[in-house]
Amino acid sequence: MKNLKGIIHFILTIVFTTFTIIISSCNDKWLDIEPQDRVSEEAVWNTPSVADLFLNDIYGYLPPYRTTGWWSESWTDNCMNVQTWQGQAEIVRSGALSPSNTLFTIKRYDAVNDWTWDENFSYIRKCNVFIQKVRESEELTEEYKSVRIAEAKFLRAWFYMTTFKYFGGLPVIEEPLDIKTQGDAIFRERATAQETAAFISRDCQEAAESLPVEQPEWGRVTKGAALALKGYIELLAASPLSNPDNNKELWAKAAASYKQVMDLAKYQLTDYYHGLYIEDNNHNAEIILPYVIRYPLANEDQDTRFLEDLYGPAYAVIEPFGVINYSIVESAPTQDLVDAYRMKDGKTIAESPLYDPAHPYENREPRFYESIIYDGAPFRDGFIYTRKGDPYNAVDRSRSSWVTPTGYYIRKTYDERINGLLERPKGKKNLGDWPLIRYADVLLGYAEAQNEAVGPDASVLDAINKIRTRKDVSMPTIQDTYGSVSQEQMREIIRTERRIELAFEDKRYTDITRWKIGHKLQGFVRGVEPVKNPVTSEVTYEYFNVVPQTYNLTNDKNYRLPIPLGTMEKNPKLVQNPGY
Amino acid sequence: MQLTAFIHRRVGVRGILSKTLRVMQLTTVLLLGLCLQTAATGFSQTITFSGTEVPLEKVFSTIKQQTGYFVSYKASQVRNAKPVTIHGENMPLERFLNQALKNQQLDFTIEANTIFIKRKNETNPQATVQSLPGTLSPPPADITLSGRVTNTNDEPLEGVSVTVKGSQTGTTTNADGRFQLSVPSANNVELVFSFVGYQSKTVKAGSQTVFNIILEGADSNLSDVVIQAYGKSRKATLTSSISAIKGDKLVEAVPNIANKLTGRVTGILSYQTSGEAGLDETTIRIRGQNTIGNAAPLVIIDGVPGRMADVNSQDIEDISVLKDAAAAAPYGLAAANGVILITTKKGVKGRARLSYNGNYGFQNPVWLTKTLNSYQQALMQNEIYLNDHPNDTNVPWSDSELEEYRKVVEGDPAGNYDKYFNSNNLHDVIRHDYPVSNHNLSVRGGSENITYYASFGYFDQASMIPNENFKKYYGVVNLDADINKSLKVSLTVRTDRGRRVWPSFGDQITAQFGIYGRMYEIAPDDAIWYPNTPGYWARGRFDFNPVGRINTSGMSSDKADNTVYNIGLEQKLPLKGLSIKGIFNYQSINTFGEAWNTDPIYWDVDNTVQPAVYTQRLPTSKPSFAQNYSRANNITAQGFLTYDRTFGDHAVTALFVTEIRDLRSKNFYATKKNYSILIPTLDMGSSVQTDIGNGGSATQARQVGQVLKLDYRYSDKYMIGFSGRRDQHYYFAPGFRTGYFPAVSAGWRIGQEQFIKGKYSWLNELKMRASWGQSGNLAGEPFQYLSTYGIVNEIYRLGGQLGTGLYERSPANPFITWEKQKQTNIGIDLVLWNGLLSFSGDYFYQVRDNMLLNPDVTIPAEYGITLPQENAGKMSNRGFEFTAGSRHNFANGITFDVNANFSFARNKLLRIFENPATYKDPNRRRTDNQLGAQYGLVALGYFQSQAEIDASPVQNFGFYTIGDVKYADINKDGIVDATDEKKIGYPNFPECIFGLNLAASWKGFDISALIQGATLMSVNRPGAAGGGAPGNSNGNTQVEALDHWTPETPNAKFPRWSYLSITNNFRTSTLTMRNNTYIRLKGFNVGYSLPAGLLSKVKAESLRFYISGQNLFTWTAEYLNSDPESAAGGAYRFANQKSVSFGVSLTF
Repeated sequence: MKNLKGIIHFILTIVFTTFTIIISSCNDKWLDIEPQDRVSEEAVWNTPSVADLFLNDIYGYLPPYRTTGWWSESWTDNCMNVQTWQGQAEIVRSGALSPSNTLFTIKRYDAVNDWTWDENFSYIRKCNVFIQKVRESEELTEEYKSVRIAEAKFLRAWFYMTTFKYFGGLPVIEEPLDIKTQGDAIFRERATAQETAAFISRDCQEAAESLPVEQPEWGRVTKGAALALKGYIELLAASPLSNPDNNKELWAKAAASYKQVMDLAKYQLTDYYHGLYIEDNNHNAEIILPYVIRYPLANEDQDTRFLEDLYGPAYAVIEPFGVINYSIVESAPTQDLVDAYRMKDGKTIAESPLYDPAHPYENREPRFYESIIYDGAPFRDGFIYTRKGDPYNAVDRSRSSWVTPTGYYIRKTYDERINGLLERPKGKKNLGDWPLIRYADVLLGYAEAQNEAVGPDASVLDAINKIRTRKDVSMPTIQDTYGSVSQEQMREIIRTERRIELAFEDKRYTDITRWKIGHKLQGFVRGVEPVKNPVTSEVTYEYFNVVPQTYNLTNDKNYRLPIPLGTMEKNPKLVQNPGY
Repeated sequence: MQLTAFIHRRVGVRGILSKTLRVMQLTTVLLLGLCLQTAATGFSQTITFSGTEVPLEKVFSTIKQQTGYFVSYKASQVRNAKPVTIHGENMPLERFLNQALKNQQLDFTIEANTIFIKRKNETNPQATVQSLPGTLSPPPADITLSGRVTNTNDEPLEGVSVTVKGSQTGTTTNADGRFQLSVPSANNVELVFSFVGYQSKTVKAGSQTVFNIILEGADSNLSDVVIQAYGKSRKATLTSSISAIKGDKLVEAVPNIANKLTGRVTGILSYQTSGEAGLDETTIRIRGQNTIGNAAPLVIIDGVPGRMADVNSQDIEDISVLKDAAAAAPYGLAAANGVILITTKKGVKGRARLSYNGNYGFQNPVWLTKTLNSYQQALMQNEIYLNDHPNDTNVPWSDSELEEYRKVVEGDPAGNYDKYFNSNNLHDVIRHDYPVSNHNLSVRGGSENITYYASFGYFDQASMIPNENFKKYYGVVNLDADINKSLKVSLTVRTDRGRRVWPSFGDQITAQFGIYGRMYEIAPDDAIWYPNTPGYWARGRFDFNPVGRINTSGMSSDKADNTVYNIGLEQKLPLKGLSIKGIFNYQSINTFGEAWNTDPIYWDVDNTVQPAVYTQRLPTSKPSFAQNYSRANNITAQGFLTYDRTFGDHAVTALFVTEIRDLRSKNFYATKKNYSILIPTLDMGSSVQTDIGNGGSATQARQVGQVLKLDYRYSDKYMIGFSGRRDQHYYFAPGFRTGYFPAVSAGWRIGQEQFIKGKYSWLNELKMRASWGQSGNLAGEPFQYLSTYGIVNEIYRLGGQLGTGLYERSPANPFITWEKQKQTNIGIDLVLWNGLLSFSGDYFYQVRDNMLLNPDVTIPAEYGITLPQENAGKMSNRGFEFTAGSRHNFANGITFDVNANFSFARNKLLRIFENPATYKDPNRRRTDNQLGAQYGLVALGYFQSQAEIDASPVQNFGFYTIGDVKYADINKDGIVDATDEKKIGYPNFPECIFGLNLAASWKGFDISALIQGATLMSVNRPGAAGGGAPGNSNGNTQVEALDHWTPETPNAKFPRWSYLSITNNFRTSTLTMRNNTYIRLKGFNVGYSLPAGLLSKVKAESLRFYISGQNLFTWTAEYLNSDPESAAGGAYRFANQKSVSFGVSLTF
């Protein structure tokens, strides 16, 4: 027994002693744990395939257009938010923005939020980091560096352009800011609008010089994309908002850049206007820069592109289910946009004898039918009626439901084979790539710039005519419609053409501000309530103001967004946009 | 001056310190070796002593020390003895004693290992006799009285004074609570048992000679043994600030004990933000908010970090809340937010006792938000439409439609119930009186060498959401065995399994887009049920009818198994008072989740025909299924070296602990879609690549610590303690990993001083305490010292391939380390009139330094990335807390026990990153203000006329007109904008929490109540309908919306309503802040225990029936239209539950 006791003492003591010794010898090494969810600095910048992952991430911040009602198209005369509580549109329209009253910002995956100053600069930093690190890398090849740095420059230019179009002049930052080495130099002043645009244009130019016309991987930016973006930023810089003295050289620059894209002879308009946005037509020759839809490869929750359940008619006939709640309508076209569509003879509704106010939807141009769902329009397995008394889609003037408040729904960009809300929970989506830049942009941009620089020459007419005579649009040429036109007439034609061709592509707000045509929006957002006479079956149209407020975009300050107070307070060198 | 070394963190000093500690470790090893040697030789029976004029007591303690013999004597006799002068080496014990007692009036005898000192020449000695357990040999006396004194928890009480009434005869109990005493005759002898902190007891000896005395605590504050860091202590001699509560005070079973501490324990400030079964969460803070970062307290279960939800409340013996630095410092880097120590029940010697405690009850939500009915909503919509469109007659609802709504709302039989609906979101969906039950069976007992406690618990809680349910199973086996006199083994296996089942829609029902949140979106004119066809539910707005989701969207479940294995070996070493202990703890947590998602079914109505036709909508898509599994293994190993010994009036406790922890976890998930067969297994479903998904991740964590604790007491009157810890943690870079957390404390029991004790017999205890110390807090996230890149999956598709992305994480901060907190605590403990009144109060002042902050406000937004956190912040937190109690047993059998507690804490940000704009603005300045302070505009009411608008400064929050909110131009710059904000309301966390515990009993009846409240807290409630006007598509509108501005009601609760976007009216302002003060009856229990006589017939020990209620009444300072506690957690929170349960507890 005595022995056993001794043994137990001994064992215990040994155990404890060993334990203590282990711990004493537990130096820092035992605590050196490798993180399991991250990658070290060296691992990233020495291997092309790993460095590429960094660039992949930046590509991921290209805007997944139109995922909810939060898009700038709703701030314009093209569309309006359906729900009253989605007050963003009214805030912009009524000129109620201020540094203390800025727009909702919603993170990526949820919406286009490209008006967010802070977010855009975080993407710009990513580009700057990539450019610097790749440039400094000793392992990466010159060939790799040349193309990928060019891609990063394009992306930097893209995010700068986005910020520029909302805010004007910006701090020009070409390297990753580093408080340790730069100290107070991290606080940058805003450059002027022209300086900023010149910087963006230079980035595009440098990118274009190194980028191939064709990239081996679909989705990567190309020379054409860089030149088209260059054209666009120059177009913004030449427009009245940034070019109050109407310096024609600025217009000429834009025209020249666009011309370069045209001269690549790589792009052309497709035959199908509507089909541009659906899966079957992906990779078509009109797309210069796509936002590549990630679904179905991506986890459905992360994907971005709900369309058919957010913009279609609220209710639609879908066999074999009958009438179903098809979409949670977030944005509806205005009467103003409907009126802007031409008649099939190429003339406006005011000019054309074909227009009959009693039957306003007859004899309109093909793009109208491709883009707008109106009272009596066919949709899927039935027709949509927004007329008074319809149990489903009757106009909701109180804007308290998800039914259209204007009498119209958006059709453009839909893949009508998708069952809207029915399939939303299952992640079924329109798998068409979203065109961030397409050839029609280039033609319209060229025509506008060239018309401003030298007037409506043959190349201007040719560019516009190409758009009007696309196979399934097939309208008469400008010459056939109007004969010869003046520069001013041409300007209006181009602007309207741009509005119609690019409707619902999130370009309208920028066009309104850069042209400073807020005064033309004076008036109310209008809608229509069709009323069917039960006796005669005649439908009459009662037009009404959807919101009681008029547009208030006449004040110059409203052409730029205010920089949020928080952002202003963090950088004392920032100067607020005038008027705020 | 080691102390100063600990205080000043300098590199040089740190080097010395770490060396010191390393030496200490080495010493440990050497010491152990030494012990081994001593063990071999054992104690000698000779004494080596050299002293001149040494007090006799000191001589006795030397004997004790050198021989291990226990010396039993009566202090009063020895105190008057002459000092002794002896010089000798290796003197035999008896010779030594003879020499020491020479010329004294004392004699001695030696029995076994005990030396009895008695008065010389006593023929009938009334000498005190004391003996060790098991060696109760008959003393040379007429009658021997012996026995054992324990407290109500069956724990032996050491040092209880046992005196014979009316004489000088007496003794004190030994460590096992035993005493022995000789008296001339047992007749008319009365024994008085008294012990500080306990009610004295007088027992007539009569013919009885063996006494088992149970002393009842005069006040739990003093009598209890308090569990503290890595050990325990008597509350009476405690020098740090610890609130403790006995497990049996927490009568009601709850799935998460966190919800039961508020109002019962001082220093805990908390609120329960959700009452959802299995997800009931409590934001719990010890002494309030004291950091911007991680502010959650550390939870220690039986010595090892754990989660409160892992323990069955019925298995809890004690809970201690370590509040000041002295108490918490042994937990080093995790201690700054305070520590909650939970100890589970252990076995007790004695026969096996089988107990059952079970109850069954019914729950209801505390509050259901009241909303407009469809008629009220329609009227409101018309009113608002006319506000917005003054000259328009096209109102949303015609008079005839309004009339139809009025009919259905009023239940008029003539109403068209197929077309006009009046649904009431929550009320139409939730259940009422849903059950909650709890059963617990335990057995507890032990023999001389082995004690055990084992229990099985089952908890089952239904939810107000049908089909949601939470079950929890608990099992514990605690085994303690004495292998021999010096070796103890303890084994614990504790397991719990939680199983939550809920309808698949939404990850959490509580979440905004979960079922509970969606209920608020079904407007009253939208059907939930069709009244004419019972059992048919409607589609609901955007297919979100919660009833359809609850019944037909599939089910999800989470099963979490948590098992803890703990083995401890404790060896007493031959040097008396010295022992070593090793603890190995392994915890395995496995969670398994499943989600089966199906397309809901619902009914559509065609009410254009008569009678209306109802058609069922069948699923339009195939189900999907997801599973996830995660597994965590935590290993904790601790080694203890303890020295605990008393030398006469000197008591020394020293403790050295080493601890290592290693935690690993892994998880993965798998999903599959498009199931053709309705069987949820991963074998079924689609085999198309794009319908299948999986992924996973892993983590690892490590920590090393060494704890040192030293306590010294002199005659239980003066106490001083030192504690400290050296910690190393994997979060930080080498060189920034090691931290030292020292603390000192001292206490003075003034009440024990003769000048008070003798004078004021009503004063049982008066103690002053003070402590100062430093502790740490782990904040932020690991690896911030490394410059790394994060991975984001499926970011973009290039060349058809879905690519992974890498992104730059915040740049590295190689200097990052933990937060440090210095805390000073001053406390007082008071017991009067044997517990009729007791009081304990603490004042504390904490300064949190090195606080981790994001410096982002100091860089421009154009910087484009967040900077790494820096140890740059500093904040203070001060407050006080007290608990006052009163208990008394009346002669007629009525007992009462009242305890009130109050905790207050107010913090201040002393140094944070702040941009110059707000820093320079005294109104908006965050520095020097409270964390959690809320900022907003000051509302001046509403604009009542255009003239008033014209005369007021421009408001920069968008369009406004008459009836809209008018704000104050605080900075007087002529423009009202966000720079006019100032601090409004109270902070978003209660600064003050109080509780009143009442208990009384009489003849088997008992009643108890807990009234708890919180104040100095505000919530921001922006609007009546989620920040918009009533009746818009956001869903339901709260009834308060009726009280809005009109020219006739210019001072209403809300501004005029509009369907336009009046952002001006929805700013955070004094108008939206609500005072969240509340008082509620949190617990109420009534019980009846059957008399023992009746029970003995069925061989039962006790049987009690009870009714228990929770959250029965709530009073709020302002009308909130919601449960005040869950409201603080944000909108759409699951209301807390009120319940009434019936229970029985039975012990054999």
